[in-house]
Amino acid sequence: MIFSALTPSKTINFLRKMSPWIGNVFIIFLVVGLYYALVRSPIDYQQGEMVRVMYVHVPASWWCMSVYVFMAICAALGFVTKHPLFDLTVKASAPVGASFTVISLITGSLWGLPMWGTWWVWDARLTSVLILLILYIGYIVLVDAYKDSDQGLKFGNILILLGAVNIPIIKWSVTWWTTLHQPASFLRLRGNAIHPSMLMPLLLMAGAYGLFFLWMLSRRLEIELLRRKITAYESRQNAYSTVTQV
Amino acid sequence: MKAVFSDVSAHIFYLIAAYGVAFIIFTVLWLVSWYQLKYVRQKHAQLTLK
Repeated sequence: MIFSALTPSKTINFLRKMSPWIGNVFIIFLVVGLYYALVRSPIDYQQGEMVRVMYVHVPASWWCMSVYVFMAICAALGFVTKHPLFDLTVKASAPVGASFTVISLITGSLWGLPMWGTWWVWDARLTSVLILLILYIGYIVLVDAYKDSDQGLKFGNILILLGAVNIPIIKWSVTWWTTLHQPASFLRLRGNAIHPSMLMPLLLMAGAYGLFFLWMLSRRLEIELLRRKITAYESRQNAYSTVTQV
Repeated sequence: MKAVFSDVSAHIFYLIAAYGVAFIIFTVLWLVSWYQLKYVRQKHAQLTLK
């Protein structure tokens, strides 16, 4: 099988080579994105300066869902191929996805308070994103709750796959139900409704978020792989010392 | 005029708060990964040298 070539040592070497490059490209995207978002982007005729919250809120919302979809694909591949790298990729992605969800919820509230007059409503979009955060936290807690790490990863994958039903609910919640949240203005059938002067900083910031995810994923995956190697070394040493004592 | 000014300064406050929250969360994620990576690399090196 093609995945058998993905040994821990080869993967760690690849991640160590790639990680600094991804980090550097992220910094470039972030600096240019922030310049466009805070300086070049025009103010909105209704929202004024507050429209600039969009450049930090919308990419976080896109990526908190995208990271979850990525995790669900890796969880499914983990079940099909039985390769531990996929399970560890799911584990390494979870804290980043959860953090993006927190950013989405907090920046959404900070945008909502001056624009809607309230920081929170229990409408379909906000509630389904809160459920997404609960799924992320639930996964992190569940995986760490097991003494046998492989068993924890397996049950965590099941949770991620079951929770994937929430993703289309988040995406189409603004279409299916009457919500305070505005309908989609970028990924929609009738084409995007954002002016190019605002689309440019939005895409740059979305690129920065995506690169940050890849950067953190490469670092966190190396951590998980090294932890696994350390556990294997320690258990081998314990077994050897037990044998020599006997 | 005073109302407009207070409105603008309130908006700036929310704007700074939104970017500040994102900055803090990004920094915490990077710092945690930096510390954990440093720790596991050291421990792995110690074990493989034994």
